[in-house]
Amino acid sequence: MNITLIFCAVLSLVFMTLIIRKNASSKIIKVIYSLISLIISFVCFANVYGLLGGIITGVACLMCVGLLTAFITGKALKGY
Amino acid sequence: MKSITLKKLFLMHSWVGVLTAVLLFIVAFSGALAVLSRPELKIWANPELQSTQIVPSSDINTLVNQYYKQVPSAFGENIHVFMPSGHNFYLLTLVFESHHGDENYSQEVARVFQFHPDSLALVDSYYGPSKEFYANKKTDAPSYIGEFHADLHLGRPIGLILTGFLGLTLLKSAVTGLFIHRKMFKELFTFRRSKGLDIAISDAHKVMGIWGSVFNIVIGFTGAFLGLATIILLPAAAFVSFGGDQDKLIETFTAIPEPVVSHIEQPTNIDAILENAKSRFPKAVIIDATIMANNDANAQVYLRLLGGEAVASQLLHYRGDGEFVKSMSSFGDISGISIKVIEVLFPLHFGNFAGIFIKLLWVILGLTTALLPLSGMMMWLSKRTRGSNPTLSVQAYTRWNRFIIGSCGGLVLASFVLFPLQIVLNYSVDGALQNAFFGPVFFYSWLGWLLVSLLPMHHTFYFKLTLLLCGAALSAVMPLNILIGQNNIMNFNSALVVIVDSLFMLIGLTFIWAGLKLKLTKQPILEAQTV
Amino acid sequence: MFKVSKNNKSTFKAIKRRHFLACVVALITAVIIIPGMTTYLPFHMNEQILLPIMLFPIIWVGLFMYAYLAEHVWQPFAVMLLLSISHGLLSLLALMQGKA
Repeated sequence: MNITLIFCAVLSLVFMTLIIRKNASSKIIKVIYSLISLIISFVCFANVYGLLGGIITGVACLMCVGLLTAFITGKALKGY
Repeated sequence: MKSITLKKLFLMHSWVGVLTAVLLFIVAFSGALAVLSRPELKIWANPELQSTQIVPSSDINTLVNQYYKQVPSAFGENIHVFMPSGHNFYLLTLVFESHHGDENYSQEVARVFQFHPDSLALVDSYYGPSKEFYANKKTDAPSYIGEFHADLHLGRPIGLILTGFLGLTLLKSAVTGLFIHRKMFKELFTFRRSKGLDIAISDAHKVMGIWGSVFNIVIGFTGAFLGLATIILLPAAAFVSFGGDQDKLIETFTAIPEPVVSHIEQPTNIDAILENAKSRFPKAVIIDATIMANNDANAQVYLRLLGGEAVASQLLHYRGDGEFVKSMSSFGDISGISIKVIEVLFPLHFGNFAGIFIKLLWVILGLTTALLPLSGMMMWLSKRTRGSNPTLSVQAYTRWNRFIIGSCGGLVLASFVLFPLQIVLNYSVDGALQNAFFGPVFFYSWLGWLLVSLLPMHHTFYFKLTLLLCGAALSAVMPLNILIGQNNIMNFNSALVVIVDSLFMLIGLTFIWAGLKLKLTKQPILEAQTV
Repeated sequence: MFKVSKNNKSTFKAIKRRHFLACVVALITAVIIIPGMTTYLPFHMNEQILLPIMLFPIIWVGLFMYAYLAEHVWQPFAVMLLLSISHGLLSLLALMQGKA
């Protein structure tokens, strides 16, 4: 169960970074989808690590996912 | 923000970054390794811990009472039980201490018994000053790297002051870096690896700096606090209230009150207490237990727990009959918000509050903290070789690169060499005698590789050699373990050993692959000509 | 080994004095502030001692950056001197009161 929750949380954060990276989306769409993904990931992490642990893990995981997304995918092409 | 202010911030960021680049890499890289040192790599390094790290509570109770009867009564004042969890000792350790000494010693003296975690056979015993016992306890490769991260093995206070100041400079660099990279949202995903090495390094520096900014600020802040707290901050804070006596300040706030011995015999329910703690905090690990006035009606038991939902480590206070009294900070019964913040600083720095997933996040982020000053230094150097009037000649550029590879790459090599060394020592050297090998092997490998940088070779060739040697050192772990190790991938006695050995092999092969893939210039062993 | 860029000299006035302020005086000031703060913070004794300790890294970074960012070098010097003297005097007074 814990592994499933962590997996879901990480996937949400990957989705969030890909949304932020996407140039074609408007800012409002990016904000809405990002917030939803963030809430899902924090809820998942909080269920595994408790409230404070969940917040810390969520922030750290977001940093890692963002870094790896940037290194692997680079900047999105214009119009994408 | 005015352009002159931005320019000033940029220069501050550059100067501090260049001055502290190599040291910051050293501390950050060793820190990234140290995250996994306890308990994962410590268990890997000690065959005794590989079979089990959990001793049944009833067995602990039996052992404590059995040896309590064997030691003189003065040694029953304080009993410390260190669990073989991989955080402290590698054996189940019972320390019976007499704070007031005995007929042979006028200082704090201990009688120690150490047991194999699985068979509970008595492995070692000690009688003598407590300080000597703790100072000479067996170390291992991961613990050595962890201690190196804390004070660079320069001793205290110099080592701690240095690492503490590096925390301050990291904090300063992170803050100025955020100010100067105003286009941070636009540069969040900008990484142009196909545009050449200089651009790739510049983009990597910005990406790592922006995404890792919160982590770097936290590590800088907590690192500065941890390094400087006992050397400068606590004595300064104690100056007014306690006349500068830091020990008195610590005692006032953190001292656990000694119980008054009633001389009414009542068995101390150690097993019930341990079971109760496990049921209250199932996700936490019990690191050690302190039993005061054992088997007396006024006995008190304190358990130190790490991890779980509390995030920070905590101290559980029980009465001897098993009644739970309270949970408090591991520093003692201190009220207020500040202590709660300080408690959280430790797990925020070490990343050890909730299992392997968080540790892996800390390792990745720690490696980016290590690569940041390095990439910044490379940007700074390459900028000075460009243009019509470069301030740095090609020869000097090559020499600087060799120095960076020798010092930083040398540290990586020295750290990696410790792992196959650990396997050899487990096979050939007993107990604390292993301690004598880690220092010389580590520092001589590092120094040796740094001296190789004096040879007139192209820095790309030198980097290639470094990658290949690092890869070879790590790749040697699995075959060595198969040949001479007790638990390995062939007999599958320990899943952790299999996983760690496999990861070492994977990382080692990756280094070798990267080294082989690296393209050399036409003259690898001749220094670049001056322009 | 490196040529000092003329641009750096014009960006910062009195660069050597700023280096001294940032590297030496800022540290001394931040250390003196810690015991001084324990004398006037309106909290329980725990907080009076722990809060200045926690604030030390932020104070030092602030003073360090101010030493370079200030337009004139006398400005950060005056601020650090004022902070050091005031907090030093507060500490001294508290010590003397304690002894009495």
